[in-house]
Order: sequence, then C-alpha cells, then structure tokens
Amino acid sequence: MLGDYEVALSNYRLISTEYKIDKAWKRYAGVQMQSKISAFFKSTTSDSSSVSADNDDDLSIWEKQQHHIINTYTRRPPNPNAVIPSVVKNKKRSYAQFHLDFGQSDFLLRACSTCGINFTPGDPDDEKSHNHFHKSYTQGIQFRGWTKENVIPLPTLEAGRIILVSEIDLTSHRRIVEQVVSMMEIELGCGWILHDLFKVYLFVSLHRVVGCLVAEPIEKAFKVVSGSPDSVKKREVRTRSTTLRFGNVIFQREVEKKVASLSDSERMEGAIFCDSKPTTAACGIRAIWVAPSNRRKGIASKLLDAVRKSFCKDLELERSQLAFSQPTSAGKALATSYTGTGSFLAY
Amino acid sequence: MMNASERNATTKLRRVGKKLLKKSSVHKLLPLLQKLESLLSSLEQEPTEPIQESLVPSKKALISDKLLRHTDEDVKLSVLSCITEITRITAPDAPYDDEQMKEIFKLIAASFEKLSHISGHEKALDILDNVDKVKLCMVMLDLECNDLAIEMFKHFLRFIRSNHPRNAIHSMESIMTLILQESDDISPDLLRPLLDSVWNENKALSPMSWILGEKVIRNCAVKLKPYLMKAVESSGRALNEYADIVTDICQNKSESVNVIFQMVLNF
Repeated sequence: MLGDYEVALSNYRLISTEYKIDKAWKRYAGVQMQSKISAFFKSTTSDSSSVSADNDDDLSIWEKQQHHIINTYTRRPPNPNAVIPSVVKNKKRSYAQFHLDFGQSDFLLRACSTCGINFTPGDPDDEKSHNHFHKSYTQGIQFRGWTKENVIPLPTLEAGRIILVSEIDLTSHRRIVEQVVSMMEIELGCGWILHDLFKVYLFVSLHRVVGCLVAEPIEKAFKVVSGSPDSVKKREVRTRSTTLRFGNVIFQREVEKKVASLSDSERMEGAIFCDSKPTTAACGIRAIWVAPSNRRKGIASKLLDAVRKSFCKDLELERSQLAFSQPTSAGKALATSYTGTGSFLAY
Repeated sequence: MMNASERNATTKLRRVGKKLLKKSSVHKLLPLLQKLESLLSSLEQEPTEPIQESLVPSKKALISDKLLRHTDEDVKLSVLSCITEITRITAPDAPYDDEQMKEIFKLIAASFEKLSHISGHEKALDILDNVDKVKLCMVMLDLECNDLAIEMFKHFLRFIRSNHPRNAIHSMESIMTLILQESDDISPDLLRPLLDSVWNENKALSPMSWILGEKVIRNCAVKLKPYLMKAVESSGRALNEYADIVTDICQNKSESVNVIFQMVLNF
C-alpha cells in the first residue's frame, strides 16, 4: 500500500519467525506467502538477476523446511522467586482419594464375619492388614520351623507334623505359642489358657500352625454321667431306623457325624453333669483349637493321639484316661467321639 | 510391539554405547562416533521407550570427561555432533541438566570457529544445522549464556564464506535472528559484531558477512529499534557509515514501520 516493500518484507519475516515459534502453522504459511509477494515486488526496484537467485534459494529452503513439523525448544516462563529450575520436567504426580459421606452403613469400619476384625474398606493399609490377619486366622499362623523341634512321631500321620513345646523351651518358641494362643482366644475366650505348667502341642502343615492343644498335669477328674442312658438309647434307635428291608434288598441309611453332633448340642445345651465322686487322673486337656479352614480333617484327633503318647514318660495313656476341661458344645462332641462314650472325664 | 528396524536400532545403539565407555584411542573412537552419529541421525523425535533406554549408555559416554574433554579436535567435534543429534531427538526436553548443558554450549560456540577452515568443517556444519533446526539456543538463553551468544555472532560474521552451503548460511541467519528476537534484553556487546559487519567499509572486505548482518538486522528491525541508536553512538562511527537499513531503522522510517507493523498484526 505504501510501496515500501523492503520494510514490509522485513516485518513479514519478523512475524513469520514469531508464528513459527508459536507453531501457528496456518498463520505462518500465510505470512510466508505474503513474504514471497513482498520479495517479488521488491525485486523490481533493484538488480533482478541476483535478487531472483536469492529468492529461489529462499523458496527452496522454505519448501524444504515445511516438509514436516519438528519439535523445537522454547523459552521457560520467567519465575523471579525461584532458582533456575531443572530442565527435565517431573512427570510424576501424587493423587489423593477423597470420598463423600452419605450415611452409608459400613462407611468407615466393616467387621469381617469370619475373623471378626474391623477394617476400613478402600484403605490400602487397612485392607492389607485385614488380609494378612484373615489368612493367619483361617489358615493358621505362618511357621517356618525351628532348628530344634521336639517332634512327636505318629505312624498314622500322613502329612504335617506335631511339635511339643514345654515350659523349659526357649523364649523364641514361646513367642509362636503366644501368637497361636491369642488366635485361639478369639473363639475360646481370653486369659485362661496359658499358665506356668503346661505342654503345648502344635500341628504344623504347609508352613502354618493349623492346630494347637494345651495339656496340663492334673490329679483328679470327674466322670460325666447325665448323657449315658439317653446316648445309649438314641444309638439303638438310630441303628434300627437306618435299615429298611424289602425281602432280599436292604437299604442302609448312613448317619453323618455332624448331624449327631448338632443333635447332642441341641439336647444338652452345653451343660454337663458329673459324678460327685472324683477319679484319679493324670492328664488334662486344657484347650484344643483348629484353624477354621482345616477343621473336620482329623487334626484334633491327631493332637489327642500325640498327647496320649508323650504326656507321661514311658507310658502311653488310654483314650479313657484323658480328662477335658469345661468343654464347649464342639469340645463335648469331640470328647464323646474320641473316647467313644459320653462318659468321658472332665475337670 | 517393536518392529524389526526398531529392535535393530536399539541393539546397535546399546552396543555402540557400551563400546564408547571402554575405548580411548583416537583411531578406535572416531569410527565408533561416526557409527553412533549415523544411528542417531536416523532416529525420529519422540522416540519409544525401548529406544530411549538404549540411548542411555551413549548419553553417559558422550558427557563423560573422557570424551567431552578429549584432546583430539576431531574426536571433540564428533562427540559434539552426536550430542546435538541427541538434543534433536529429545526436543523439547533437554537431555542433560543445566550445568552439563552450559558446558555443551561452550563447546558448541567454540566449534563454530571451525567454520573458518577451508576444509574439515563438515562436522561444524552438522552441529550448526541441528542447533538451528530445533532452536537449541532457546535453552542457551534460559541458562543466561550471553557471552556465548556474542561468541557465536563473532564466529558467524567473521568466518562466513561464499563456499559455505546455502542452508548453512540460512542456519546462521536463523540462529542470530532467534537470539535477538528471544532475548529479554539486547546488550551493546551483542550488537557490536552486527554493526561491525554492516559497516560500509566491510562491504568490500567481507561481502558475505555484510549481507548476513544486513539480513539479520532487517529481520529484527522492530526489536532492535530501541537499542540500535545507542549502539551506533557508542561505536564511535557516524550513522551514515553503516548500511542503509541501520539508518532507516534509527531515523526516517519509524512511522511507516509502526503502521505496517499494525497492519501485519491485524492480518
């Protein structure tokens, strides 16, 4: 418009540089075109041959450069307060999880119905702690073994082993015992299982303590009496009723142990009655416990076998010679099953 | 997954990088550096994770004192050429920390002295091309290496030759234009080499230098206007002893420059 193409060309080159830096490619292309127009008109005011050569060079360089877009470096934004920051940007971010309380019933704490512990769902640390405890409770405490183990040999034991821990053993052994007992106390109650004179039998399988029995020396016990006649009668009735005969064909109905146990539990409601006259006894079963996921596998029976074999020196006790502390319903069922009679000893 | 050429590149890069850390004699280093530069120049920008990992041995080797401060000039130039290739690959993030980048810029500015040599300036031309291509001088300005910018200007304007390739001359122009445009302040020391180049007496002595200086000043006319008159006065020469573009910027064309500038901005 003003006819000053030299200054126009200068400004177009200035603008094209800025557009290129900002990567505004459409504007850059437009300015490049205007730059060529200005150069074209400028050539008429001076020697055309040399300027034309320059233009051709510029054009070829321009075409070469615009073939593809290249990543380039840019200036950092000025920050007067900070020292020169590192060129390499820190890509890592930290995120915090927020949540809204709408009155959910299990918002903060949830009680696990299996192991009884309270934990916060969604909290990674709490979830981790709960998982660890839940596994220790249901499958048994992790146990890698000791260099010195008092293993009770049982010919009938196919897998695992039974270790005897007595009061004279090392404190490191007691630590495992205390862990197992604290696990037992969840179901059996607190504070009464361990005392000075005891022998602890640990059933170890797959590097876990899956069962535990605490035995103690006693001097007398009492025979359970109230269940005997009813038990005998019930057995006769059950025997008769499980057989159905049609000529030569006989149908035999099998009675599950669990059903029998439940029946006994319902009938007796956990209370037992004993003779008033004491009987001489030597070994008392103070407590017995098996990890929930390992129950009904004969582990408790194996523990009782180990006790009979090793409690008294050079003497193997008979089943009827074992006495049981105040049993739970399940304990009564075990004692009845193991001794083969409802008239087992209690103390 | 990785394609065959990518796997091939990563394997070669890792092998060359490990060898560089062990070799020390010149006649073994130069072929290795040549091979590394060839591999690097074939890589695209924004490389994939495996290629980035395979670059790590080479990056460490090149920045080590053993290579960066090697006494042999050819080895130094080759190392610097490989480093500028790496800056091209990693753009817009610098591959090294600030202190290391400052050291590299010193060597880059010194390498442009090789442009004055009749032969053997091919590596310096490669470095020049990479520095221009990815606008590496932006990092130099961030690190406040103003003396290095002055040194570059001196080398370019003093050593430019008619036998330099056309794209090298264009790179020099681009680098100087970029430094002037992007500088927060333009010091008189930076303008002195430019004014010396467009001194009328220099038009006969060094016509290529005169043309280059004139182009750069024309490219940065608006930016230079506040500083140019002071630089002319401190130079001790009269205004009319310089190229017409200097006179135009300082005096007569201020109004038309502003008018055209506004027109361009509205474009």
